[in-house]
Amino acid sequence: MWFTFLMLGLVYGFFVWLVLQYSPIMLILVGGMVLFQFAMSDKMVLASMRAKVVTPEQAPKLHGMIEKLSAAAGIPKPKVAISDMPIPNAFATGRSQKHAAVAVTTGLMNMLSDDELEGVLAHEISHIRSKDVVVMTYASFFLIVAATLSTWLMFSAMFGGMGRSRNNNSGSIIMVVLLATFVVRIVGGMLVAALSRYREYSADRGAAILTRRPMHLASALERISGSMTRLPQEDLRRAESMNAFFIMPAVGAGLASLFSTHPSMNRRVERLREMDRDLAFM
Amino acid sequence: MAEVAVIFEQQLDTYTTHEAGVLVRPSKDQSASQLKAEIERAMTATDRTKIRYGVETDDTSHAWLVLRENALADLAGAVAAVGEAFESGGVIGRVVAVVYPFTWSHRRVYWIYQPRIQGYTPFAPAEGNRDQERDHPLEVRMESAIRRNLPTSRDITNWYPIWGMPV
Repeated sequence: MWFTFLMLGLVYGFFVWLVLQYSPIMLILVGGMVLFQFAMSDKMVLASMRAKVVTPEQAPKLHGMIEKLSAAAGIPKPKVAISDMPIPNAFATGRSQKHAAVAVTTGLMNMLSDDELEGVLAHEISHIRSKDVVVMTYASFFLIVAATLSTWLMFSAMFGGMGRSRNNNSGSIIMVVLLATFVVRIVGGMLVAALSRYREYSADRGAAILTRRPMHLASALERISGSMTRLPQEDLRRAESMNAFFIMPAVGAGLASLFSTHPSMNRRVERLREMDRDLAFM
Repeated sequence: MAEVAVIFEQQLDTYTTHEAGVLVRPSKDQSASQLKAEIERAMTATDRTKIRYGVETDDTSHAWLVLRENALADLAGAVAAVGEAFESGGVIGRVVAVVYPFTWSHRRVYWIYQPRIQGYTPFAPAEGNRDQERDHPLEVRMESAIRRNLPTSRDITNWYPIWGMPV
């Protein structure tokens, strides 16, 4: 993880140096915008997911679970929000532990058992405890700056008199900065994605430690990703008499794993299983 | 199964119920009583007097050869002997599964050997056995706990339930 951080620092350092060479005002302007977003982040994220903050009276079970988990994690109890959406999802937001919120969709609550829901909430609480929102905001700060800058430069190049410029030098400066922003966006984006994967694993580990039952989160992940539907419901005796008519009964399973869209989910479940084994012997 | 008896009992705290069930599918147009008679013939044709067993049928016209031995290793040995008897009796091709029931903290869980995939799959009915529900997280734990020692199937599309077993 530290290697990713270091690489990110190098890429961003180069970018800042380059931008400072040519347009320091831009950096300040875009930086200000990002900081404003950061300060408003919890409200903005909740609003974008159409999540409403609920009271303990409105959602006693959810509040109870979050209260227990945040106490175990040693953080202030975050706000609890519910989003009325059929898609199963949960997220944590907030720029600090004091300004944090955990939100779940109604789809998630309907789909999971209480134990599984607790596993997912523990994962989100771990995100808050390890200040992941802050880390990811800082990590993607220059990414947003680069993205804004490149759009800006594209427009200014298009409408600011492309080819009509008497000063050849300014055109080449724009090209250099544009190229740099593209490199920063691609390389930085990859690094931020890697960083975010680490955070997911570490939140899974945090959840496993909080609940001491990693399998509930694993089962929730499997259920959310839909791989649970692959668990046969029909009795072996019935399936066996059907299979007798097929030449290659295992073909379906092979294809399903080939086209599985959640390889990272499988890896997360695999790691949770390992943690479960380790916890069992502690 | 015989080799992993120690791991089951000493590390995983699961114990054999002293029974194992061999599930046999009927051949075409064969009634449950005909199948039962066929299995009994296969068992008596070879001298297997040492094996303690009973033959039962279920409401899906399948037959169960239920073996009883004290130790898991002896059960596995008895299953191997049944395999030989079924081989010469012509029943072997219709063995759907060999089921080993275990108790784990007052609950009954099963390891199902399926000859079709040559592997073991876990089966854990939900506590209280309500409405044919299963405890999938427990099944996942069972599989990951024993996969190094038993040829299990990691592909959950093979994890079929068997409800209403006589074992």
